[in-house]
Amino acid sequence: MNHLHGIVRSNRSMLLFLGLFALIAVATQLSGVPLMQRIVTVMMINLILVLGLQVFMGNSGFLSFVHIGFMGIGAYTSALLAMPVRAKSAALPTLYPFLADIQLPFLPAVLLAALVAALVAAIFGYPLMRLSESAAAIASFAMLVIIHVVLSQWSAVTNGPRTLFGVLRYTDLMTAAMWALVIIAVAYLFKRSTLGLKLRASRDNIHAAYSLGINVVVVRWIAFVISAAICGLAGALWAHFITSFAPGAFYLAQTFVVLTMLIVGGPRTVSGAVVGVLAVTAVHEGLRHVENTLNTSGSLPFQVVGLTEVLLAAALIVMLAVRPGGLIQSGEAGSPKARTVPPQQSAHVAAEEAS
Amino acid sequence: MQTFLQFILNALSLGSIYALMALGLVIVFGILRLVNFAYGELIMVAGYAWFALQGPGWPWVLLAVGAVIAAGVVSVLTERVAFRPVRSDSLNAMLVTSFAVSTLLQNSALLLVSPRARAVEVPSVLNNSIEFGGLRLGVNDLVTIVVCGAVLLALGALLRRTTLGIALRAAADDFRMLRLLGVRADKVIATAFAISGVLAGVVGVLWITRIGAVTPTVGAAPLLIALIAVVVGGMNGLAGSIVGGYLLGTLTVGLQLFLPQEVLAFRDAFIFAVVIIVLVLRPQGLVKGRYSAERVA
Amino acid sequence: MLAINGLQVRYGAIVAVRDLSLSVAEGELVALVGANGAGKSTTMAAIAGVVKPSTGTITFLGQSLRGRSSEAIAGLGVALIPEDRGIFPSLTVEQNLRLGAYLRRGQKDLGKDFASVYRRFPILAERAKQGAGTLSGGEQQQLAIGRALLSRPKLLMLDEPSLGLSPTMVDRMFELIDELHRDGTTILLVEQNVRRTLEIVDRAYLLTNGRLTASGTPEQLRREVDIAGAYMGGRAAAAGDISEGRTG
Repeated sequence: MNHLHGIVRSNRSMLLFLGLFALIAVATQLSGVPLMQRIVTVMMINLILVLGLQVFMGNSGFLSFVHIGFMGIGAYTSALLAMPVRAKSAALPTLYPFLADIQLPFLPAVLLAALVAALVAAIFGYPLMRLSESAAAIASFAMLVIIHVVLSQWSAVTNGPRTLFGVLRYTDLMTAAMWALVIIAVAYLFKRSTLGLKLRASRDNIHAAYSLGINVVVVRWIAFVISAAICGLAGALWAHFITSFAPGAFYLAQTFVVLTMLIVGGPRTVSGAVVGVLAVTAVHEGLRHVENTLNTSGSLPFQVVGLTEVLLAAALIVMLAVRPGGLIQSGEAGSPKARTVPPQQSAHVAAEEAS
Repeated sequence: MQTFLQFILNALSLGSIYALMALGLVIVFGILRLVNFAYGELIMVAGYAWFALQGPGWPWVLLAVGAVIAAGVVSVLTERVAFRPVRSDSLNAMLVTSFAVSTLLQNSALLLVSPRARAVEVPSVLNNSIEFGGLRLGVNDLVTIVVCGAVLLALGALLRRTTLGIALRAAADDFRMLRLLGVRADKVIATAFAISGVLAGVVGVLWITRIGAVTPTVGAAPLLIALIAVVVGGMNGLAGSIVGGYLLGTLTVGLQLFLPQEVLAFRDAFIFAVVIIVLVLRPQGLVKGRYSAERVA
Repeated sequence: MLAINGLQVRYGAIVAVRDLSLSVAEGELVALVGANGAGKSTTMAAIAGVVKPSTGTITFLGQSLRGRSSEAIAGLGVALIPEDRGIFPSLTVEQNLRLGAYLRRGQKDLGKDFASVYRRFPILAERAKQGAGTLSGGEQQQLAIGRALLSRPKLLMLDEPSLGLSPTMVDRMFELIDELHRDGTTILLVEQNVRRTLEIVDRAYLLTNGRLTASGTPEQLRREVDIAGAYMGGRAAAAGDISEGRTG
């Protein structure tokens, strides 16, 4: 009993959010409002994406633009693997035979999608991990462009820049929510793992981390691969929810939304990432509702386009100026004591806890 | 021989635009270590300013000047409103801010103008070409080469002769020392953004008149081009970015000529792969500038 | 002219300077001496506004310097020549000097001051059009001092001016500082070369591990540190330097 109490105590923040999101999922399901269900499903998928990004960005301190590219890789991989053979030959007549003839069930397709995204990240990401902060950010941006070009030009596999139709709908609110809960736990556990600790030590003081014998490049790389897998998974889930999409979905606009969620919430903490998703989704949907109402009411002589993004971008700029660390900056929300470790000390803390 | 000369002329023309694009990006990067993702939107601003001014039949020069001023003003405004508050925070905060500014400006154009392309009136003389010894010289290309050359010379004089220009170069060397000499950081940074905006404006006018239309996303391609040129040329020197620009212009024209059509679709992927390779193998760029890791607080 | 009271500077968890009080009067040449890491450079950086103190007051000509930016402090007439000299390598020697006179742009007597800097440092006149990055260490130090003088500082702060110079250049550097002092310039000097420093200064402060451990005229300091050294087995490496006359 005491033991159980201890587990609850040390995981209070994680359990809090697991409970909260389970509650949101069940409540939405019971409400039976299709629009709500749709919004919450997308929110769950965005949550997975943001957490995937947080695993790398939050713990390493590196900015990454490429992760939406991994989402795209996951989406196309899973779509191709799980599409019925007949639909596939209609949508992609020039597809390679070995891909054209297979049809996997949902779960293996999704897992393979995560694996493919992880593989791409592992192979092409390794050299990036050795770069300095700003060079790595630019390189990750270059990588996003490359993935985008390949997705939109490799017509045999992706139908080029055009929309790919005929993906089966497997993802519903409950699947998305279940995966989101799993990934919440993964993000918390990763942050607290030896690996996460080493990575955070390298973020706070790179020299100290090296002097403690931490192989910073490898640690960073592993986190990058794990986070790519999570984003690939999110892409796969999204593909089987939306069922028809084009490469443009995995580019700058989506990157902006996901980065906003993470930065507004606070990239250094898992609870920050989670709160960021909730807050931005609420604002985003609210604004979109206003925009739609304006457009359908006909009270304005022109169509309102881009208002949501304008206000969201303005909010992000204000947020960065006023509270650059995000809503939840250091201590995890709901933890027994939200203790903050000064940068100079955390390397030692990591060393002690890692040894 | 004629094909070769034609090739040189095209490469020179495209290269000069690319060089100016790169220069506008690197002048801010040199001081703040910031890759300004909103740079492409300054080019867009110039395009829309041209579009807004073109009605009453004013002389072309006036439209061009108006467009350049608009880009410069917006650039300085973004510095004052968005970048200054986050300057002392992490590099990532600045990068994300620039991403947000880019989104804000792009969607403002969507909201205030239209998602659809707007045609700009281009002086008809630009579409003419001069036959010269079997060579077809587009007036457009000639104007581009001359304008870019003039801008490069003017900028060179500004940076070499004026006190503020010298301070700007000093800031890229050692910003802390510059402030110890009593030079206000805000002023130097605002100047850098002003120059960056003006360069974006000139590029915008040349670019938009080439395309003949302006859209909210018209700045995306120039931003990517500038980014590549800067990385390849070297991020720590103004000369490097100019070299990078001309190199990239030549490469683009060359690939267009020699690459088969089906591979050409992947051209940008190849070019960005080169970017990553350069970053990994030669982070200082092909043209070595002075190393300075210091940022401004 | 300059008064510091209860100054404390921290770098994260490390306290670099604690409870430091000192003063410099107009026309004085005052030195901060002490071992590596004693907090001398940090003190200067705090005066110049490069680092922000956590507690304490710094007043210059009756005005508080705390919370002011380094450019504003420079505007009040405080010039710091940092340990790395802060030469702009991509500029020419002349352009470096021009930035030294930045605060006096457009003043009439500037030409005269340029001439006097070139007279004092003929090598700078010779190399005026050369890139400053090509200068030797000693030449760079001369450039740094010449540049600082062009701002006509009310207080000149030099951080380890003799560092990394050849023995002859070190001699010239101390002569030069002495000369500037005689000309009436108020100078705060940080040096590890304690023996040479005590030969030219009016007063000195000894810092050990961020604390003030002794102060006074060179004679007082030599005597006091000698006694303290005899009784306490030496306070620090720098204290040993003073009593034994070693150069650091």
